[in-house]
Amino acid sequence: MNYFSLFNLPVQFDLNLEVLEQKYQVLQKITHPDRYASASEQEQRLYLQKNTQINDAYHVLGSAVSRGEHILDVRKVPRASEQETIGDTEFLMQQMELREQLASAHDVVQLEILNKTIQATTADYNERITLLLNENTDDSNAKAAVELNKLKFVVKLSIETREREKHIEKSQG
Amino acid sequence: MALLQIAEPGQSAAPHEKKIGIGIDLGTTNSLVAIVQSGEAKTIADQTNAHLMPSVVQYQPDQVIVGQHAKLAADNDPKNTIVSVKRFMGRSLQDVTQHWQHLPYEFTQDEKNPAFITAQGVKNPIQVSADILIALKIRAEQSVADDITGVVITVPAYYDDAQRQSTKDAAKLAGLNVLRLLNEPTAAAIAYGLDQNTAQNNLGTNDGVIAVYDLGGGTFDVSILKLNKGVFEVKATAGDTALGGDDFDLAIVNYVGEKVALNDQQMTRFHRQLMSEAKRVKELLSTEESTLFTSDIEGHLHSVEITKTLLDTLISTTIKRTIETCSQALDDAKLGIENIDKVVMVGGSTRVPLVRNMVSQFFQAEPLTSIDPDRVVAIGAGIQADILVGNKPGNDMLLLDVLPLSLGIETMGGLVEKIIPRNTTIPVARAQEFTTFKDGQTAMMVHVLQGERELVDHCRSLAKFDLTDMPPMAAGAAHIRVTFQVDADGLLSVTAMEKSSKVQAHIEVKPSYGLEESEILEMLTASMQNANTDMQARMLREKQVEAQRVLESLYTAIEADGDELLSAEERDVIEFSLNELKKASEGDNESLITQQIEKVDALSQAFASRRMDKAINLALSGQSVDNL
Repeated sequence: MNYFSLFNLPVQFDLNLEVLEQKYQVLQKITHPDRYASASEQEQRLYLQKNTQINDAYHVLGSAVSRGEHILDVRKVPRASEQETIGDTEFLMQQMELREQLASAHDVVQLEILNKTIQATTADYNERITLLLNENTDDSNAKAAVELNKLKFVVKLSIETREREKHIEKSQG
Repeated sequence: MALLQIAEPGQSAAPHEKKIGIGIDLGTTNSLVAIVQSGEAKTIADQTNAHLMPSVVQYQPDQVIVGQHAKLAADNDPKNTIVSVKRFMGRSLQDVTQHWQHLPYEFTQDEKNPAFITAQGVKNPIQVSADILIALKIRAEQSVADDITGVVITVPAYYDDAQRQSTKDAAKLAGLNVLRLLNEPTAAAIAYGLDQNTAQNNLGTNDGVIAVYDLGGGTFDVSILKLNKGVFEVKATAGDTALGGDDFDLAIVNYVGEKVALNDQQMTRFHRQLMSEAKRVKELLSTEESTLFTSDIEGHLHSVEITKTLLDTLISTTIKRTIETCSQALDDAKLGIENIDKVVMVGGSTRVPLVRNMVSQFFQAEPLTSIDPDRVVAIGAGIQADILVGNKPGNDMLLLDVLPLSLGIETMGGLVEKIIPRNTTIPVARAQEFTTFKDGQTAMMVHVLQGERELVDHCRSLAKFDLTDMPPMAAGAAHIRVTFQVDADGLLSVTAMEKSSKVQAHIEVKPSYGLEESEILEMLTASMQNANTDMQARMLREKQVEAQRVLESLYTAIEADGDELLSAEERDVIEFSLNELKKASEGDNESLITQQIEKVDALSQAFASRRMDKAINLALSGQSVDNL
């Protein structure tokens, strides 16, 4: 199942999320089970299935990592193994540094600085992955798969930073 | 009920016959029923002009009493009079007695599925709830002098699968066709017509984020809804099932107890009396600055002055706890206070001025209070029911709901692995793969849980599934794909398949709480016999109605799209089967009607699917034109 075509969108990593949401709402209005509450069981079943699929597609296309992985799936490119990510020493060093910053951050200001770095890093990865996936050769797709795995680490770090921030805000407030 | 007139192919359907949809707020303390009449949603009153019906059922040897009269009997006949049955829905006995001790009922031995022993024999919470629903249904039928097509029942947004399923089972037992289980906060937002500006004129600026703050007698929840171009989306919901306006009363009682030095024994013995005086004082202080708390304890008359300022001090801690929950819901919704545009107040306890003040201060928005907070949920349910039975074909409103609590399965070491996280938009399906750990293994057990904690013991057990009839293979060779589907009511169903052999594994569901499908059917049959209704007549009538629905929808579909989407041959085949179904539905052979429906179903499957794809393509292409 190609989720991009379900939404009538081009297969593209740097997706306009506003357009995605607009399309999602159009699809919801047509397929939501509430529209068929008094319909025959056949229609109820059919639209429940389709609506479920649309929700899943929106979820997958809505975040960068799963969207990128879905593009690889559509192109039948295998996902990169963990080994390839861990093999990249430069990446590992950067991650360790950021993690140290997170571990030693004790106030909101320090976390804000870290947040900025993470955001910039994420933007870098997004840009790189966009270029690789737009190129769409065997080689560029395979490279994109590795970059996506790295992006996953960055996203995880970003979530943990946010959680820490909330935690600190709570203990102060 | 008058069967719908079926239009012959080529003719349009008969002048639109109005279908009746009702909304029911099945509350812990009180229940209500609402209906849309002459374009306006209203709650329906009884002969004494009371809109609220106490959720109390008294089982006398020869009759069942529901509502106000049952409530009056509660003190004299506590054992047979079931109060606040909602607390028992989908719960074990221990779950309930943990919070509420000294219940006056006699229970059966079954700890997991508590049932009351009454003058009419054993009654489980589903049956008691069904009796409340029947009373509301009768009230509605008398008001419209017609049969009810369908019903929307509201449930707390925080309700888990077992509680939702039990509610739906109760409706089934009451002979109600459930159009949808609707979350209470969403219903409240609908009642305020927060969708309407956008749905009705394109200049509308009602888009925005709404917080629904619902503080009842014993429960609290808050939901964050987002409204965007006519789509209502529940972004997050959080709550506390053991916090409510009763805690305000308790705070007053504890203050008075200390002030006049009542001992523990007196506090327990006169608890009910003190609580009801506290309630009176609390309500009075919504408009007055000061009043006297008076009580007669063992001949001693006590009188304590309670000012509004003092009340505010006593209850502010409880309100603060609700505000913390509001903050958590905002976090879950990934939104800030500045995003909140409107706050809807639900539940009698929101009449307390300090509640309104603190809530509006927190959200920095003026709370909406113009609709009676006790009735607002039922009114919203009534509006939604009217839409779902099809009385408002042009209405563009849509509700997107979310799963209130994460669904997961038990893994090694008593840990829970989440499969669908909470606040995921429903309907949703997620698959999980399992493998065997022994050679030739043909069966496997899956334990499904709901909740946010990591340990099995801290989550709610929903069901255990036995996967059997798996093809025997070497250990680890079999890949069983288990799919968890949650429908638009938030109800879970599970299917499983062995991937390599495509063998559908058989699943036997043992719900941890609530009843099995077969038990519901048994209860249904039993209730029919008791009521001297002919079970078969009812089943036949339901089938006939279903047949009409199939006929009506396919005739309309063929008229609209038959030329474009069907070959002449396909069309002949479908129309022939429709004629057969029509003939069958005029007779009284129920199984023949079922057979014909299934036949029509199979023959028209591809057509239905083509129509859906056409509608989707049309809408999406229209959309891209708009964007250009």
